[in-house]
Amino acid sequence: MDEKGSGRRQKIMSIENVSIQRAFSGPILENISFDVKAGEFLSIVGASGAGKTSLLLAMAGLIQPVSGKIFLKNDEVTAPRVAIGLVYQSYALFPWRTALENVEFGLELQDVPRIKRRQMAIEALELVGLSEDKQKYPIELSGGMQQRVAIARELVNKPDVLLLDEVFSALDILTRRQTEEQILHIQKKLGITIVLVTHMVDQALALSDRAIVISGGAIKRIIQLEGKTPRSTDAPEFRKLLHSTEAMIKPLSKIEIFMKDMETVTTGR
Amino acid sequence: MALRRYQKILIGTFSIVFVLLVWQFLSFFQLVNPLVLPSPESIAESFVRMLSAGTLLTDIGTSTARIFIGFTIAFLLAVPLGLFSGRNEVLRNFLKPWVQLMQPIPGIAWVPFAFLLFGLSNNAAIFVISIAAFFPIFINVMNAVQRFDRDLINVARTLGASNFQVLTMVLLPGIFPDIITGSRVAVGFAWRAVVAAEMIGLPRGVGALLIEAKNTAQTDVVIASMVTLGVLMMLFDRVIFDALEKTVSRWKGAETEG
Amino acid sequence: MQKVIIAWLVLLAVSMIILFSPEPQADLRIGVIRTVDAAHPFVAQAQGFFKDEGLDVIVYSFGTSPPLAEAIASGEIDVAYISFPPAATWISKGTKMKIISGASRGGDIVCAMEKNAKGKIAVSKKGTMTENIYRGFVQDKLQFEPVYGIEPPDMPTALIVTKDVDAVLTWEPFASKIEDAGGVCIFDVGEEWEKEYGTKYQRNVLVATERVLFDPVLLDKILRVHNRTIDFLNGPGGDAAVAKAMGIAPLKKRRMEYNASLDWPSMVKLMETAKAGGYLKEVLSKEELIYGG
Repeated sequence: MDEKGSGRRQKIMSIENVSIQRAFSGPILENISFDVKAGEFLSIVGASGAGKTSLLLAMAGLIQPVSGKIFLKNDEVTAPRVAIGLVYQSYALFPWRTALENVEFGLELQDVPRIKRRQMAIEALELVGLSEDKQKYPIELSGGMQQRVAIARELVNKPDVLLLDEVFSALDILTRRQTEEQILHIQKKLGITIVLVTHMVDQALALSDRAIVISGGAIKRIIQLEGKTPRSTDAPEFRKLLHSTEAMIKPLSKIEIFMKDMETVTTGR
Repeated sequence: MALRRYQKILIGTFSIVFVLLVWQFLSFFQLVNPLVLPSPESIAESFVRMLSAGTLLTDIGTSTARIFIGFTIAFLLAVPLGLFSGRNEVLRNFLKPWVQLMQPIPGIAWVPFAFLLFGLSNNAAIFVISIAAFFPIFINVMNAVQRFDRDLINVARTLGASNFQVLTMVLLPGIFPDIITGSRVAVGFAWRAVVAAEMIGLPRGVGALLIEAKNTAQTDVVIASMVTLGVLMMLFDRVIFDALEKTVSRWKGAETEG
Repeated sequence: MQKVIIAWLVLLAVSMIILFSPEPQADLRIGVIRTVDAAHPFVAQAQGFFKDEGLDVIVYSFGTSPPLAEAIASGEIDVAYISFPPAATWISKGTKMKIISGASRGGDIVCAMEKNAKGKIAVSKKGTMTENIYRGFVQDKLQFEPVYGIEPPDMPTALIVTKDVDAVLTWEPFASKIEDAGGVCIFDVGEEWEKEYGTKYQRNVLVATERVLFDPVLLDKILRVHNRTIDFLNGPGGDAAVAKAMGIAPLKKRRMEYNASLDWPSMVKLMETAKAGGYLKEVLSKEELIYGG
């Protein structure tokens, strides 16, 4: 398995020399650069607190990097846009709207006429396997179902890129496996570009075409992966890669995070 | 053992009938002072008398009209102000000392001031009602906006929502339950304020009815007026607000207060 | 949501109409504090006496004197039935009104739970008619310690329920209420005054503002209705009519007099008492008080 990008696919997003700072603490990512290729499944993997979510939010246009630029198809990303879809870890479904109405939200904003809107939303829900539950409210849906609604809500707007923030973390293992397969299925069917942020290294390696490993505020490695997804996690080669990748990502202990913050305060960097 | 719905209604009805019978019995045998507690019969009679004379409906109409206008004014001021204060920390802290100072003042305490400003007019009533109703709505809206899930707003932005659309399609529907709660409390305060103003000298209205009856020693009219007031307040609260809360409870789930 | 907003706007419009529709234009606006000895306008209206004179009338009831005084001063009211001492005070302060007729005499009664009651007596606050009559007449005749400030509507409770006082100086219908509850009336001020001076003292008067005084035709009509009402009140159907108009049970004993003439001697004495109490600067003359001198 190679380490650098393959170059077969076209570049759809580029992140150039981006540094991100969290409020009231020092920089969390410094000088990150990478590309997102059209149609690929890209994972960004790292320990909790490594800055992956912040990076994703910057890619979505919700926060501004302190330096560097982010481009979607040569257009600089400075504000949120429909072409970049985002699914939060909490799913962020509108509680006062049914599953169907949630999915229709983006279409309403675009003034799509009611009947067409309904139809498109129903199709999106069918795609994620939830047509039975379209009249239910989020509170009446399980975690896995909510997640699928959230994904359908993005997909219906036909975004260029779909960003997923730890969307599997809250699920039990069985539901997780199910949804992972479903997402892969959708991706292959629609050819959509997916960027998944996760702390579960095995998941990243099993699902993605490429995995970007982040640790200590920088990209440690970009792993190019081959083979049909989802990959078998038992294969010895897989396990070897898994261990070596995990070794790259030492989660920062609380003491280390504290020391890092202190460093910033005293040195101003 | 859990009671069935019809059983609850039965017990409640029995309770009312039982108390009325005992009361009528006591009055009949003059075991209670008619000055202080007239018989249910005489109260019912005065009730019918007031209704047919048309005065009861006029007074109910007047009080209700005052509440309606005052509440509307409070609502139209409190919701936007609450929205801004929830989002803007500077505004919030600017308003905070005033809110903390004025909010605990009961509506009735505003009445003399209102009379000084507006005389014994409907405007005085509306003024008092507006102030009494303003704070619960404002505070509820402000707090709801402050603790609103930012993710919902961000998601809406990524789906292409403008600021206006975030306001109308996300924030307002999201805080609707809090608006209802605040409004419910506000209406309760409004009733107390308007009855107080009417008792202190404002012409017409249920409070004025109460005071006039007292001044002519018509205890039965006093009690009939009190019952009317109680029924009115209950109607406002139950019919209007319970219905509103029902529309909300389906999506809010078990989180709602009992 | 659209439906809710429309319904709201409709209700708002209705409320505005209820509250702010212009006052119906009436020929005559009468102010009165709603008591038995000022039952005249209510009875007159119920009997259609105003209609017979072609007068469209609105009767405004007040609970206390100050708002009534304000309404007179601001011209919102054309005539009013009020007790004499406040009338004299307002005229002396410059309110542009004059007394055009008497309305009632007597009517204050001392009630207690037993015939030989001793101790405290409740008297309404300083400046009122009853306080005047107490200080000027009752005080010397009965040995009680006055407690000021309890209003007559609250007196039955103070006497019977809380027993804060041993006697009260009050008027109808409260005196009857006290009797109903087992009390007695131990001193009828009107009767006692009559024993001493030959007539009952002047209590309520009918006053009129300039608008009426400068309109002789209107003034005539008002006085005609007023006199007719008094005759009616003193006739066989009077008590029942009063009870119906006031919404109370018919009084067993009428302890006051409906009378259109003015008893000047008692008026003078009342003014002297008011002056002694500090509410009236000078005893006023007939010219100053009464229309037509």
